[in-house]
Order: sequence, then C-alpha cells, then structure tokens
Amino acid sequence: MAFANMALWWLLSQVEAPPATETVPHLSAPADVEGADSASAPSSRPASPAADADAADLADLQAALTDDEQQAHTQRPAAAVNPAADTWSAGGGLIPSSALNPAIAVIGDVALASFSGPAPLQAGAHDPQESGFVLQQLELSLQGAVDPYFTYAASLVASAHGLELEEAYGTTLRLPAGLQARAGQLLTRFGRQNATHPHAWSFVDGSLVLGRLLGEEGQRGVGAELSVLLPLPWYVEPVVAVVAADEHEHDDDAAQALQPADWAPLGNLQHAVAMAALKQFWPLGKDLSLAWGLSTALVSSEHAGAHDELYATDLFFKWRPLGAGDQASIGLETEGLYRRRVDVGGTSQDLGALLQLVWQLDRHWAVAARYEVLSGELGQPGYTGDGPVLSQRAQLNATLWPTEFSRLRLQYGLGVAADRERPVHALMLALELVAGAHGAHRF
Amino acid sequence: MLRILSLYLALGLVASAPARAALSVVTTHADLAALARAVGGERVEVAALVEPTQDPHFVDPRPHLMLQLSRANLLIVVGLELEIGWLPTLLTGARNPRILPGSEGYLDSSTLVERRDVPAAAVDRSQGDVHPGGNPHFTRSPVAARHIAGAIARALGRLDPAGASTYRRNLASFERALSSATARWLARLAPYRGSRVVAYHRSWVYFTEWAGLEVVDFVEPKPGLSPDPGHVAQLLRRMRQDRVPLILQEEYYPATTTGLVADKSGARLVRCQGGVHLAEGDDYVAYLDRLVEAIAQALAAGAAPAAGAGGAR
Repeated sequence: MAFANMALWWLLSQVEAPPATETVPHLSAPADVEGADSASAPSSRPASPAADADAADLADLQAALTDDEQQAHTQRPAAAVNPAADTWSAGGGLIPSSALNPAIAVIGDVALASFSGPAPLQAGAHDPQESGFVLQQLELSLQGAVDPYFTYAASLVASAHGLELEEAYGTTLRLPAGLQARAGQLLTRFGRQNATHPHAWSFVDGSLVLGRLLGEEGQRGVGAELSVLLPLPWYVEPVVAVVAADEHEHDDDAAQALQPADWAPLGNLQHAVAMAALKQFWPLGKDLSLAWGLSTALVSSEHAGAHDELYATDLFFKWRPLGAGDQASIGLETEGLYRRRVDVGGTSQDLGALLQLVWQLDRHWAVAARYEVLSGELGQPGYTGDGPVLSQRAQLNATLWPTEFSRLRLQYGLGVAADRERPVHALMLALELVAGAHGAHRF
Repeated sequence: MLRILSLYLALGLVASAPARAALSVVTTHADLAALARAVGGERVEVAALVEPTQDPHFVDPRPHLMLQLSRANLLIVVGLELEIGWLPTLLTGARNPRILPGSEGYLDSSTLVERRDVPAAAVDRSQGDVHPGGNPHFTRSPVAARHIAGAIARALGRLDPAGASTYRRNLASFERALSSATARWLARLAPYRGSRVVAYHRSWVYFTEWAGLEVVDFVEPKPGLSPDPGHVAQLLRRMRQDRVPLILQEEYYPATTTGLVADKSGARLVRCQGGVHLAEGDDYVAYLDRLVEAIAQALAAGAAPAAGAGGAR
C-alpha cells in the first residue's frame, strides 16, 4: 500500500496540474506554483512543482495527500452534479447544458463513376468499385475536450458496407517530457496518408499502393500509440503504436470457428500490428516546407510463423509563397513501401511507390496528378499467372471549392496491371460537403 | 586526464550559453506580438506564428511552429475562432500544458475587447464564413490595443514576478505614446469624419468606428467568398452613386479587382499591411501612423497616388 502511494505520488508529481480556477484565468490572480517555476526555465520542459521540495516536506505532503484522499472518498457524492449548469438548460433543470457538447461535423462524399471494364484497379474500401452512383461515405465526426487531461475524437462512417467505426480515440494533453499518447480505435501514423480521412485527400479514391499493402481500410485497429516531440532545434517526432488488426484485415481463408483447444493466451494481439515511425520537418524559409518520414511495421498473423514486415519512407515538399492571394501552393508528395510477407508457403515481396503533385491555383481551384506503381508477388484472388504482378495507375483531376466547405472533383484514371487483360479507364465526378465544426488536419 | 577534459568541456558549455530572456511569448497575430514586445521589452522573447503578409484565417499548421509553442510560457491569441482552422492542431502537437486554453499561460485577447458584429439571431454558413462569437479583427484598433497591452502586462507580471515593475513601466510608457499618437491621429482624420468607405473583408469595423469612418459595403459578396462579377458590378454602381472615396484592404488579398473598381469609380485604394512587421523593426504606433497617414492622404481629394500608398510596403 505504501509502495503504491509512493508510486502514485511520483506519477502525480510528473504530471502538470490543471489550473486551480475555472473563471477568467488571465484576469484573476490565483497563486500558482507552476507560474514561478516556468519563469526560470523558458527553453526546457515545464518543471515539476515538487522537484525542489526537500525530503521531509515531501513526506509531510504525501501524508497529507493520503489523508485528504481518504476524506474525499467518504464525502464525495455518488454522482457529481454541477447545479450551475442546469440553470442554462432549455430542458428546465432536468438535462445538462448543451454548451459542453462535442464539436460535430457531418461530411458526405458522393461520386458518380464510370469504368471501362470489370475489376477496376481500386484498393480502398470507400472507392467507387463499379460504374454508377456511390455514396463513398457519410462521416459523422465528433471532437471534444474530456477534461484537462484528455481530448477525444471519433468518426463514424456510413457507406454501402453499413455503419462502421472509423476511429475513436482519446489523446492525452499533459504528459511530461513532450510525450503524447492516443488510445482507442485509430489509424496508425504509418507513412503520411494512412492516418488521413477521405475529406483530406487530393483524389477521389485512396492510393492503390497503400490500399494493397496496408489494407483496404488502411492500417487501423484498436490499440495505443505513444509519440514524443524531441527537444531538438528541428521537428523530430518518433511514434510507436500497437493495434489489434481490424476484422477486415483477415485473409479470406483464415475465418475459422475458435475451438477451446485453439485458445491463444495473447488473444487478438496474435493478429496485431506493431509500428514505429520517425517524422521530421524542416521549414526551408517562409515559403518552403519539407517533411520526411520513415516507417516500419510488423504485422503478425494468427497462423504461426506468418507475418508481414513493412518498411516505408515518405517525403512531402510544399511551396506556398506568402503574400497577395496566398492560397496558391504546389505540393509534391511521395511514399515508397516494401513489404516482405513470410508465410508457411515461403516468402514473397512487394514493392510499391506513389508520387503525387497537387497544384493549388487559388482558394477555389486545384489540379492534381498521381502516379502509382506496385510490383508484387500477390496478385488478385483468382490470378493464376506466375512472376511478379506489376500494377500501374495514373490519375489526373481538377477540383473546385466554392468555399472551403464544399468540393467538386472531376478525375480521370488509367490503370494497367499484369493480372488485367486490358487497361482500365476510370472517370469519376465526386461531391463532398462538410457541415458543422471540424477540426484542422495535420500538415 | 579524462576528468580534466570533461571539466574543460563543462566550463566551455557554460561559458558559451547565451543570455536568456526571462520569458518566451508566442502570439498568433503579428499585432499581438508588437504589443507583447512593447510591454515585455528586453525581458521577453516574442514571436508571432502568422506572418503579417499572411491571411490569419488560412495558415498551414507547419510542425516547426509546434516547437516554438512547446517552449512558450505565454500564448496570446486573437480568439473568436479566427485561428480555429489551424491553431488546435499546433497546440495539441506542442504538448505544452502551460499554454493550453484555461491556463495562466493562455491569453485570449478577445475577452478584453467590446465585441462588434455579434450575431443577434442564429447564424449558419449559408451566410458565408461567419464568426458566431463576433468580429475578431480588432487588433488594428488603438482602443483594443490599450486593453490588450494592459492584460499582457498583468499576465507577464504573474508569470515573471521579478519583472513585474518593469512590465508596468513599459506599459505606462506605451500607453503614453499611444495616447499622444491617438490624439494626433484623430486630429489628422478629423476633417474626414463620417466618410464612407468600402472594405474588402469584414475586418475594419473596430478601426473605422474609432476613426469616425463608415464602412458601407464590401468587395467580398459574403464573408470568405471571392468577389464575383455580379457583385462587383453592383458595388461599382453603388460607389459611383454614393461617391465613396476609399477602398480598404489588407496586403494579403488580391488587388487586381479592387484596383479596377477604384479606377472606374474614382475612389482611392489603400492596401495596408496585414500586421506589424516586427521582424523588420516596426512597432505598433509606427504601423498605425503609416496607416492613418495613408488613409488621410487618400481621402484628401487628389492628394496621393491611387494604389499602394502609405501602409503597404
């Protein structure tokens, strides 16, 4: 018990305390130990208030804290109710105020597609897969602050597949030493595009290379992620995450009923993704930006001895001259991936790369081009040829934004693959509408 | 031997450590940085996240800005959702609890200002990119600047009690400079009180209210929408009919259309800087000096060139 108390005390002393008052903070003047410490070390991490207390004071404080906690347990009511909030409610005191509701956004993506043949070269779960109208997705996005320690974000997606949970995770706000953790259902930060949602894409459909190598829903699952912003002169952020792979990621032939004899101590972590990434960024002046990432992942499978090793690198270069009409920019992005799949039957390798150029002409118009190539030993199900299957896809589109909340995109794509008899042409017209409050995306 | 070497190394590192300012202040808008510099003086390191040549609504949340925020003791924002499109990403990524909203190191300057353009009825985006809490473009108003500078001095005094008297002194001298400059500016603009002006974006209400001017129309048909031919034609008709003498816009908006409208209507176009160019040694009073002079000259009939006068650089 004493050890647990000491551990709790040490942990609490590492975490920054939230402000003591909820009123207009900068006009009132509560004595705040944090303020004095922060003045002395502006360039370092926030100092712990307890760091300078000597051992005797520490012991006294610890005893007092334990005492207070015990008292609080006996006095705290079962449900904490804030009487002040009720008086604002339109429900007349029965329902909590809606002023603290999360930010809600509704994002709809609908497309009209036309393909020149069956089996189009599309790898994303929300890509148009056949000619005609398709509701790519309707996303309900919820974001909010939980308390001074966490924020959360969730997005529910409805599409032809049904209603599914895209992401639902909490993010820490006050871990020390530049750390930050996320936990929940999340898209991992493998590469640049995996963690993005369709409304942040520069193309109607997802990447062919990422869809084939990371999965049709991307590298996603329930798990936890830890990242740290290193105290270096330039932006360096290592990220690690472990997620239990989504149901969608299972191979078709792996679906089996689980017998008692099959019980696995690791449970769903047997089919998990462990990833690590290193993100770096350099501002090359006011107008130029360069971001570089390195990612690796180990995807284990339920089958003993079977796993995927993924290695990837990504580069993003953006030129945005600041000045009159500063919405114009040119962005160049590339991701290269290598996957080594080890299976009972042997090993196979896939190598893929994507290159995209987005030219934002002004705040209303953009044109974009993307080329992707994937050389893999895994053809589509049913492919009976031998040797690596080379797939290539080139796309060109133009986008109109009447405002930043609505978007119309016309896209043409040409796909050529060894396991397709002839090239596949694709023409898509996509409309996206964003209503409500949606937070900013990463750069 | 090794011990001596490591001693020399330690001494070398200590000796080469640069003198540090007591506090690191980061602001979003350049005007807020100028006010922080005026109040903080040499005791603070001040940086603005947004270049004055940049539209503060649309800023790329470039990751290196997170580094600046991670080391800040005080973050001063404009508020009223001006920075809502990019600041939250940077704040989350900066992992600095000192400057999170609600902390002592977070100063929302919109709470210090008497807000204008607060919608009386429910708003939605069919009215354009509206700010539901009120108009956030108040940093150009000397009235607001006085209140904000006072709050900055109080915030700095709480974070750095040893420098509190210095901040009060700096605040007093800034207020004196601002008062005498304000008297001068109002005198300069007095002959033109009540003049009608057209503004590009709805970012001038605080300034024109103080200066005694009246904004009668906007080049943007709705907030955030680029001018379209129909609206521009209507604007031109109105400007000719009412003999509006002046168009005001910030340097980060395109000037081709407004230049044309100015030529055809006989009005003058004043393009002002988006904020104080602190990096070039500019300060708040000098910035407003140039702006007031440019406006006064433009309003005086035939006294100044049509475009690029005064405040623009």
